Amino acid sequence: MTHLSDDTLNEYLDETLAPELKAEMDLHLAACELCASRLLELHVLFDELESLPELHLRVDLSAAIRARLVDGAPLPRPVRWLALTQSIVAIFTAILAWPLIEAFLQLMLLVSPTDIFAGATLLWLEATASLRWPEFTFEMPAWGFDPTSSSLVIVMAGVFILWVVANSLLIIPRSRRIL
Amino acid sequence: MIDPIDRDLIIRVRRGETEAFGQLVFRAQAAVFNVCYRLLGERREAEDMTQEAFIRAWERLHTFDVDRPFLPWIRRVAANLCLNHLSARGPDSPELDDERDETDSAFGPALVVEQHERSEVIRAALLALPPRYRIAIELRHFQELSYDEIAQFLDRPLSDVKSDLFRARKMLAEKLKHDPSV
Ligand SMILES: [Zn+2]
Repeated sequence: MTHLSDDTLNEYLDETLAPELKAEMDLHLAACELCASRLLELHVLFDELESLPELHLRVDLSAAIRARLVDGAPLPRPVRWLALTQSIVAIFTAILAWPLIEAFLQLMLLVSPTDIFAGATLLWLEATASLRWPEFTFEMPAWGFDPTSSSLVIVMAGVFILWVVANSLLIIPRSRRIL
Repeated sequence: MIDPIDRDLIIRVRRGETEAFGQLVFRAQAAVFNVCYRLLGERREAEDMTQEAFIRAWERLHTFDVDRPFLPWIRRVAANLCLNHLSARGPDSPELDDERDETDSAFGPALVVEQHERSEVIRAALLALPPRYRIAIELRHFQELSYDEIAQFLDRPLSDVKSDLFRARKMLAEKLKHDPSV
């Protein structure tokens, strides 16, 4: 008589056997004491695992978990406003600096970096000197500086610093969350 | 078998309510902790892994199908984290924490001690298994996944999963037979 394999006994208890196969096994088990006791042994193990009690959790973890989620929560309002402001300023600056960018792009294809720099500055000064504001009755406010001069560079530097600061504010709270 | 309260909480969490997530954690934390404890055997470590599991769930909740039950999902997330943790930790087997103060005393003290000792023996036997056998037992017996589901979860061939599970049972049965403390 061929005894049942360990695999078959396992599958029998896991209820994964086809009905014909199971019926065949039942016949064998009824006749073979050895296989019946092997099955019983495995069955005891199943029961023991099932009877393993669940342990109590001694601490409530929900507060700690929620505290960790604060980092992932929506950004505080001032930071969001700062981010919005920086994008508007960046777009405005890009429009203002377009003649410089355009000149730069043209020169990039032609000459050496030093020439590009000198030439671009010159071109930009020329281009912005002839820059006309649209005809609608818009009064340039008294900025206290000439927008076509080098003071524009200072403004751009300021915008750049603002941009860096705003981005680090956006990035830092997120990077702290990465596990 | 979708719990309507869990479902409602998940929908609220997706709207950004961390408060609702706190409630979800409160409801599921004991079950998740038990998964981690069975796999790791250390209370402190299991608590940490429980936290990690919920953080992971929070990050992935947008991929979760609200029409499926939450508890089985979070328990699988926890099992997965523990498995990674175990393979990073190496082969050392931790001492089982003493859980002597845990059991209910609905029965006589002698019976309680006896039952308690037996569950400690079972836990110790589980922890003595190699991690891949331990996870097979966890997924089949405690999370009640089918062979196919386990194979899919572990991303391993069905034949490997079955052989791991059957060997794990054999080892467990032998360990428990040699320590028949009941
Ligand atoms: Zn037989």
